[in-house]
Amino acid sequence: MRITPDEVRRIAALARIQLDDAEVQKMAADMDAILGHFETLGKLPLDDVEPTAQSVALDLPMRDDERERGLAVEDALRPAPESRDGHFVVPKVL
Amino acid sequence: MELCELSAAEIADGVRARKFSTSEVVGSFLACVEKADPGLGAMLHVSVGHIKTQARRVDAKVYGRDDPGPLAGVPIGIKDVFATRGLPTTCGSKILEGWVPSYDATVVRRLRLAGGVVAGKTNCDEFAMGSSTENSAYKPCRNPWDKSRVPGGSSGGSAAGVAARYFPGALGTDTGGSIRQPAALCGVMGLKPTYGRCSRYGLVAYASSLDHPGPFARNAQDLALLLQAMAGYDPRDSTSAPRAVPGYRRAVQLQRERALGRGLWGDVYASSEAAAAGAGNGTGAGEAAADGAGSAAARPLRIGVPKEYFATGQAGVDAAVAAAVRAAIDTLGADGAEVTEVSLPHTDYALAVYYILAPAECSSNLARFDGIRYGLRVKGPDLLATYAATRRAGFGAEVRRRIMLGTYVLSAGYYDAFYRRAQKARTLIRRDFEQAFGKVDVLVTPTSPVTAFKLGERTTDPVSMYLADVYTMAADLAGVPGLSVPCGFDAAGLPVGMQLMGPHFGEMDLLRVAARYEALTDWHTRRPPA
Repeated sequence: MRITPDEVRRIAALARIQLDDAEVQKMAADMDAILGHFETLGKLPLDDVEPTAQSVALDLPMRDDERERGLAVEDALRPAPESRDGHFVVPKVL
Repeated sequence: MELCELSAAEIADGVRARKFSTSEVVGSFLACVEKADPGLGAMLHVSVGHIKTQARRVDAKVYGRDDPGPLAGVPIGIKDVFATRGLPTTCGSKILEGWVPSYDATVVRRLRLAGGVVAGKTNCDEFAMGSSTENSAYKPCRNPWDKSRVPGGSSGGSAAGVAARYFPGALGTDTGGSIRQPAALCGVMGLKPTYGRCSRYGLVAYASSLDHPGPFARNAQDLALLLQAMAGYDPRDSTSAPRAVPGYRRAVQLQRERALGRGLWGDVYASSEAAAAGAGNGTGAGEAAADGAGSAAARPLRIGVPKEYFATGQAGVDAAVAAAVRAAIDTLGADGAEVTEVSLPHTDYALAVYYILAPAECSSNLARFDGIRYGLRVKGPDLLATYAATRRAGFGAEVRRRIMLGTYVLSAGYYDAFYRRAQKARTLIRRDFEQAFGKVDVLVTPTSPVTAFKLGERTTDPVSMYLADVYTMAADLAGVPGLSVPCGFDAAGLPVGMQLMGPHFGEMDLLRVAARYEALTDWHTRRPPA
């Protein structure tokens, strides 16, 4: 097995997803099976190949440097689970 | 016949000629959904108030002095991954339950400006991750042709709603096949345009370099009408193409009458390219070009049949699907198209490349769902615990799996082995298409290796579900357009789709081939049992 339960726990912590022990076991098995399908890429000679990040050649035009109205504060806060005095409320960090 | 069962062109013409009103059309849609959707599950959010307000607005234009637009009064289903002002947008996920956006996605706004009516939000796999719509956190969607089977996915509700005659058109997104595969499984047409042809602004991102918004319809003319309204540069999406939009609708009308072997194929092709290269929005120029004046480049349509898409074996194509697509190719050949076998040698690597790159981009994009600014929040003892508990409760199994895979392939020590290699292999897949389109105009393949499968049949093994998109992923990786056209049925009476693929910005050709094919056959007119 390439993916161990400890590796799954490490990745879950990076991904900010809480998993219980049964979910860790299942995730390890699933990830292992999927990663097995990626081995096929190891056979391709890729040393001299440029990577592709975007499929279509893009001009990436800049927007005009003009002020425009953005999202209003009340619209931005309306869907928030908790807000106060024009701010998002988060659990205590420090 | 119910008004909502008409084509988009028929509805728009009828509304504009005051034969019937938009309010009557949406009334017919609401009655259809009330009757049929409890057994189908295509719709996630339908708001009577929202739809009637839009209908009144269009009707006011019809009876006033304003042009109501080319989609006047046409109800359009919107996949629940597009932001819709005033209408819930959940992406089929519990983590966004109750979110009502304060803005429209650009493609939605453009459809409304063209007179279209947002009929409601359609069911989909959570965050567009899946091939059967079974990953919806709310309810499964069923296939109108056989309710024990899936409609495909992830845009299953849009495809099922168009097939069930709720509305003549719908919006979907295609990241690995999520427009074309459900279109094939539901017996309708679905178009994935070139990357950048339609704006992604307001589309909740899954994999940004692979997400393509596009339309569903039941005929090529309606597909062209919808694309015409949606396409074009958007300053709010810097990856949208600053490139003129040709006159798709006019080209489709002309092509219905014109054989693929004798018309002015190369000529129209060359002039639509020329128009597209021009400045301005180009709609008028494109429509003029589509008339095909002059004949210097006249030649038959060249169709390429990539042998890799007809391989048999474990993950290969089903015999009935291959037979139907071969018969469709014969029909196009008999109409004068030149058919040759071609090769896309890196086809077999598409699955691995896709399932590295898409999860990698997904893990990054979905980091924004943290329970702070919108959607669900599950409180933990501190901020980190709040994030982790929210994401555990809010994301379903497949979304978690892809976030985990993506985080893994991007993590220290694995980036070069997986992510970088996949990006390089993506280059080879892209080049396969470039080389093929040096020789042929259009590639024809099966859209899906199989017809609609049973609910639950592929849910236990994630890889078996991933294989449902094996013929559609490469076009997303290469950014080339693809269109699925109904081309027959298997022995169980389930629809088969033929996939047309073209070079970047070759949507016009795909629509023209689809238009000609539907003039020669009647598969697209078949309707599922009531």
